[in-house]
Amino acid sequence: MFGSPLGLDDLHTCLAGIAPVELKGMGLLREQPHLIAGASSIPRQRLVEAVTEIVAYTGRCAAAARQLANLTPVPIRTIGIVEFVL
Amino acid sequence: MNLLAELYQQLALSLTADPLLLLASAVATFDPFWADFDDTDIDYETDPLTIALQVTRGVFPDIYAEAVERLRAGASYAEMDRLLCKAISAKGIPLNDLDTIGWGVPMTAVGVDLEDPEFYAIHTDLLPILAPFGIDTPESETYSVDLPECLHKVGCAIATNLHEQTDPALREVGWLFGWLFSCTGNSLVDYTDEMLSEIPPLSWSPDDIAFAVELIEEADGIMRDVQAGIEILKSTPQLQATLERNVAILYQILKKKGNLDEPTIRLEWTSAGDSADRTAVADPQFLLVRHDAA
Repeated sequence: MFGSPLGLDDLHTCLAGIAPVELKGMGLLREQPHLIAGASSIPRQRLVEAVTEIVAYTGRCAAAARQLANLTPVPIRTIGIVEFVL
Repeated sequence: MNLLAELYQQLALSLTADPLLLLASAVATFDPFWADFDDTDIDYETDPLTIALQVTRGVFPDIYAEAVERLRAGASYAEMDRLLCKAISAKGIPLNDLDTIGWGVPMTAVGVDLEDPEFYAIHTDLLPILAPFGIDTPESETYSVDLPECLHKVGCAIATNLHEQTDPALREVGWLFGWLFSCTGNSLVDYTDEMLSEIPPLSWSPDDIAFAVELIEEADGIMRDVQAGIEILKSTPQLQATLERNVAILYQILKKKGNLDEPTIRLEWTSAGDSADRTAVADPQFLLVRHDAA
């Protein structure tokens, strides 16, 4: 892959190919869509597990966003992205 | 089912059909404050409920889960106050009022100020225990009690020596004197509330919370030993007599040498563990020295 031009479409395909995340909270909502409206209750243990996992997930996402925002420029010499005349 | 409810249901079903919308719905449902808090800093100037949500989200996710569920159900501030205080207290941090959460981790000091006349008025049961140390307990109203010079040195030497005993009951009595003379090493046991208030409180960071829980648990354990020590001394007149003799020995050493070199001090104690076996217990260091000499 390195050394060959990478187009925007390729980049999009690459990102779109990432499998969707599967969190316990998503499973709970699939089982009980009423939860979205707050009209249903969940066993405490399952609720705690779902919240703990989502808090950790959102934390990782926020950390990743912070890191991306603070990236220093990296000179790319071996990858060509034609859309940006690189 | 009316039209509005049916619409709600269809909307909820649609939201769960797409992975991205499902993820967004899950985050909004289970972690609605995900974008509200900085991971590192807590704004102590903001309202108590927000602080509590940030603290629990970071350290006690089980409490946060319950709080979010109650908020979604429309719980009032008073209900949230009760829920959060009870849940955080159950984790080992005594939070009685949510309004105080912004002051940092609440802690209660149980230390003794022997110069405070009120102490003697409250703890009359301790007067016989303190009597051998030469404290003149106030008989009339006074602002401060005069303490003998080197009282704390002698008291701490007694506590240290008792801690070195193998008899667990004697070690409990050692915690009693550690508390009375503020030398347990646990700040909550050694400091009075007034002294503690002069120290900046611990923050609600995960590290500080873990430290606070450890400190409070240790203080509770020490105070249980202190209470046991009081009962042992009260019920063992021989031990009280031994205490009086050992305190006198230490004051004599101080008078002769001007200081207490604790490692060289040899004291004998009456066993306090079993009333049928209250024999003299030699200082284990002393036995070690004799063994080495042989």
